[in-house]
Amino acid sequence: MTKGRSRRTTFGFAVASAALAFAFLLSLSIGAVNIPVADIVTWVTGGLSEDDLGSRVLSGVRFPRSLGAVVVGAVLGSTGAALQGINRTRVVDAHLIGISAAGGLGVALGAVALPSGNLPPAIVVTGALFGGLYALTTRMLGRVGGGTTLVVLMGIAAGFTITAWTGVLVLGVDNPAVPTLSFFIFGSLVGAQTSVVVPAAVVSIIALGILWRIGPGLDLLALGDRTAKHVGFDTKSMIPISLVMVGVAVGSSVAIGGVIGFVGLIVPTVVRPIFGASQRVLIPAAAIVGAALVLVVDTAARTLLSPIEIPIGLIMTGLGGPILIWLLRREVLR
Amino acid sequence: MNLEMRNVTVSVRGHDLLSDVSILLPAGSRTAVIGPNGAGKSTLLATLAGDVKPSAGEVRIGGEQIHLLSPRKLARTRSVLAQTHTTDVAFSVQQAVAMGRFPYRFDAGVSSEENRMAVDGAIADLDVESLRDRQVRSLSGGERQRTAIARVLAQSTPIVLLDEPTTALDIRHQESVMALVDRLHSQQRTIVAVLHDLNVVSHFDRVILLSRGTVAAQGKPADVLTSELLSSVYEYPIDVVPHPTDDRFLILPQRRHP
Repeated sequence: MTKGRSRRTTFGFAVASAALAFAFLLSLSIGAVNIPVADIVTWVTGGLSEDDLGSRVLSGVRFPRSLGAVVVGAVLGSTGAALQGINRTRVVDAHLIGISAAGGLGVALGAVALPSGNLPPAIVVTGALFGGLYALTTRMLGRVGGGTTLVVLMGIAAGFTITAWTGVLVLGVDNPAVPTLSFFIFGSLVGAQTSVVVPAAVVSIIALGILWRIGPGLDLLALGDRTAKHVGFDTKSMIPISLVMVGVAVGSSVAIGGVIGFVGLIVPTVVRPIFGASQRVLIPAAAIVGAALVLVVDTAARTLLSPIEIPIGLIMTGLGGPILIWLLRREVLR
Repeated sequence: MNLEMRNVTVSVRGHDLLSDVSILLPAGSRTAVIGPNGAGKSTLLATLAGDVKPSAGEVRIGGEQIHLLSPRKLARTRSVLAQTHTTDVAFSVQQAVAMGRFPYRFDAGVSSEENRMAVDGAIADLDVESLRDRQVRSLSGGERQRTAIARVLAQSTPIVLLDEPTTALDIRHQESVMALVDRLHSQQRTIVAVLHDLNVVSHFDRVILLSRGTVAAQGKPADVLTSELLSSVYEYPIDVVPHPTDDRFLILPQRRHP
């Protein structure tokens, strides 16, 4: 890494972290009840009475929701970067190729099979399981020999199919504990609760940590799978492991906020010009920027048309769609 | 370190790309692999590299069966310049060359100084110093080829396998690659190169001429590069004439069309 590049990386991390901190504070502060930053600080230090309205909103609703947004954004952003490295294209993320949908099916099945008053933490496990297994199959589909385009197109088809049957399942069972159809199409952080956010965060941190460890090997894939193998990267086991880690992280994040698209396409596109293509830098950078993005968009989703809440996926798709078109154009014109 | 193929057959969908090929490449030898399109040159190299598992027979590298070596151990034993069409590489030349040091990561026995020197040395050897910070995708075909060879060199392996190393290179860089082959040879490394340009074959000590998946001839360039042998294998009349200034040969196709 050259000096100029490393200075830019350090500066980038500083700016991104500051943006994340600001977005987090913003998300805690504004909403149906506006809470002054001073009160948030008092709440953090334990100085705010438990009966205080601000205190109840913060601990009961806004803090779990904001933390959930951070986990979801970090997972979707960084897995987008990793998937783009694995598949050697900018036009792929967990949502586009159906990994999020598969995680959603796992979450739906978990919620149906394990009914309780609230969403049980076990949906993190079922989401992660389905996400991981499905991500692994995307590799097998790609093995057919059609290359990246086929992986993406098959992923889109599989994603639609899975989402459709998830919808049938969700509409078919009359169970208030199961999230609504909208949750599995557009996502929502409305119901984010600590009992789900915390286990999902733990699972995601472990999965992303393993992905980060494998990162330098994933960089080699830019030279082609064969060359990566020639320089000693165990593509046969490491690519499947990486995909499973992507699926596990994404699946567990779906348990928090449902199926939210485009984060993994938007974030790496923004982050790569500043931080470069190396996964060791890209994964954490995309995690921070992804977290900030989801926090800001979620805050907008619940405040713009207040008291109506806009599903977060609608705004994200509205922002991400044009970026996808631009990416596709660039990919073809290259 | 020597490299050996014993009765190797490689079949793809019932079609033999190589059939019953046995070759021994002694440690420190320089071998050129030649033959017409579809003769099995790239398959031979891929099999020697461990990319392709033979349907029959075995490949031994330093006496050990190649498919029993871990990817990392293998990468410390042989480096490969493959024919790739991967062009959209968003890494700098420096980063791409440094990827050749991947098998030495997390190795306490290899200092970062040693890694840096291997990368810097390879960059200087392939004359890509001025391109160091450029993105690989912004390079010309020849510059990209030199970057790839630099990566192979940075890998510092006793066995070096090159698939058409001089493709896309101008005469000056073609010659500097040949000089590089000579230098690797002086370091006792085993070199195998698949070549299309028969005029550079004289740089090598040994030649393997492939024809339809079998070895048609092998031996010293003077023994293999004969008009009769080449004309029969390439199915086209070829003249072999002595080079005017040194002991190499010039291989020229006869002009049959008006």
